[in-house]
Amino acid sequence: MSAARRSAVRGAAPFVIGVGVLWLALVVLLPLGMVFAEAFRRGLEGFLQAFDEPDAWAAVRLTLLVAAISVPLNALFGLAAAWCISRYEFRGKALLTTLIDLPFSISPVISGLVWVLLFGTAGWFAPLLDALGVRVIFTVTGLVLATILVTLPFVARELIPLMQQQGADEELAALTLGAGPWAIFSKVTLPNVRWALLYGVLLCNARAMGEFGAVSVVSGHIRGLTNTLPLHVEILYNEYDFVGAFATATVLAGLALVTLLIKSLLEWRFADELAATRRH
Amino acid sequence: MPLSIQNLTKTFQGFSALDAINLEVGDGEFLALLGPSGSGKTTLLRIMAGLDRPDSGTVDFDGEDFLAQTPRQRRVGLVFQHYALFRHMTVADNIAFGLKVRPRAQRPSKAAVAERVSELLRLVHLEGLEKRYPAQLSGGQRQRVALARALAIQPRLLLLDEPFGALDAKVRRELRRWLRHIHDETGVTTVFVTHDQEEALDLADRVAILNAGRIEQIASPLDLYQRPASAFVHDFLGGAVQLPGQVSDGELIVEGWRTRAPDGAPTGQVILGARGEDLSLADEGLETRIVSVSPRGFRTRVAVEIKGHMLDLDRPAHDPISDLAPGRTVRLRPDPIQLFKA
Repeated sequence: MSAARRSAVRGAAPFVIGVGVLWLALVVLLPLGMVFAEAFRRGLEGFLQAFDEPDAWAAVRLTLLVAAISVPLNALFGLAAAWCISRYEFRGKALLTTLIDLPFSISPVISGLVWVLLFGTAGWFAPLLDALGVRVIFTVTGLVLATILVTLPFVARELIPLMQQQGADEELAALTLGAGPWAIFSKVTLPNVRWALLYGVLLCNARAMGEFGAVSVVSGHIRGLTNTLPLHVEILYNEYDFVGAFATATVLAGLALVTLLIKSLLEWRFADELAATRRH
Repeated sequence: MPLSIQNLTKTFQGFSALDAINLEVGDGEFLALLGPSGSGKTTLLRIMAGLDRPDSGTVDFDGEDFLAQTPRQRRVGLVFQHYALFRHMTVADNIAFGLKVRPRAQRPSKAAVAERVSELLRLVHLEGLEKRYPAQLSGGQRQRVALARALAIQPRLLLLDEPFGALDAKVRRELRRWLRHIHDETGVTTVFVTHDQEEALDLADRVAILNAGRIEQIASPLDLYQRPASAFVHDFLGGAVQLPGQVSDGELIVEGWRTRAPDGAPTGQVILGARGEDLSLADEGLETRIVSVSPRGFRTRVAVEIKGHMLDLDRPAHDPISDLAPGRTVRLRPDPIQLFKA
């Protein structure tokens, strides 16, 4: 790099950094601060009051339950999809890759609505479900389906480029050394992608807990039964219980911050190993 | 013959990667598969290892049908061009991998594994590095770990796929000598894939030259050199020019030079192959222009041009060719005269 160009970049640095910080403060820190400010507007007592009612706790439990079901399923799917795409050549591979991205590009409302169109009272599979006596819409099943659809790309998107870049040589080496399929997966494939998998799972989890649009369509907003945390926040807000709404929102914000914290801690703790496995 | 390959054929989407390959490798032999990229040598190696399946043909090892066996049953050691070391494992864990993944009943004890690992570390001269990760090793060290890992399972057959292709020239030469030494020490039957003719000729007991999915010739390095079976083999071994010519009534005509054709030469359209070291100054011969002369101590490199083909001659400093001035035109005569059917 020439001296002139380097100094030009250095001169621009404070400006660029300043704009970045200002922008972050405006669109991230300010709203986040608002959530906490509003939550504590009537002091600690007002804040705690929001958690006095069983419906709030039901919403917390439901949110955790939905995430606990959808995240592992999407982690499994992500691993399987990344394995397929990075290890095999087949017809329709490009289509599969595009399909995996699709949930990112369609509105979450649509991701919820498709389940209503399929399994709702007037849906395609309504007769079948009626005959079986199974209900999907306005139940936990519906919430899980909508969440899975919305959060489907996260793990796969983290794993596909990494597994493509790493290639299959290590797995083939393990095969010739006598390892069986399970040993190859557990001793070679999985350890090689564990950090990407963890990132994917954390991102997937954050979205699963925070999802509003898709879940809103299939939930039916039955308090204590099908109301997740984000939906609970909306209900309280619509009932003009602003402190309650924001207090509940702090739980969501708290879950997101914990997720970020775990990610940063892991990055810091295993920085050496990360660098070693990435470089190779 | 422990390894016997008959009529092996493999096509990839209409492209013929291997075309009726027949190959025998003797017990303890070191065989090189030499050919340009795309000649099918790596495909052949992968079929031996069990990573690819042929369309037809047989691969037998010690009387067993290899194609009916999984890679695990074959007990074949494979060394990859880009090492393929397990990046999240230490050197010691890499080497021990093949022993640790054995079924419980056949798995050696922890102490036995540790003993075998340190024995192999000694063999590949990497004592003291057992706790390192692959990313902390040089390319040459990594490939030595990969070889130790492949040898740990006491393979019946050792396969190497361009193992030194990613290393620089000096390390390549070192590892080449060292690989031959390990082979002589362990006595394991070895098949080695390379596109570097010098490497193949230096290392192997016999060399199989592949071209477009077919074996052109299998012979000892000396035989390949002295009796190349085709113009392709002659050309691929390098350091040569090939000129079109004509043989009739026992006389050879190449680029205006007439001489007696050697006994048993083909007639009609032929190709004359002339290696740099076969050429010497003569009254009659191929018209040659001296392009440049670079003395390097004992040796002199003389770049010449023969009918539009460039060739480097490596000569002792006292050779008459080393004394020629650049720009001069002289006559060089090849001996022996090697002719191939055009």
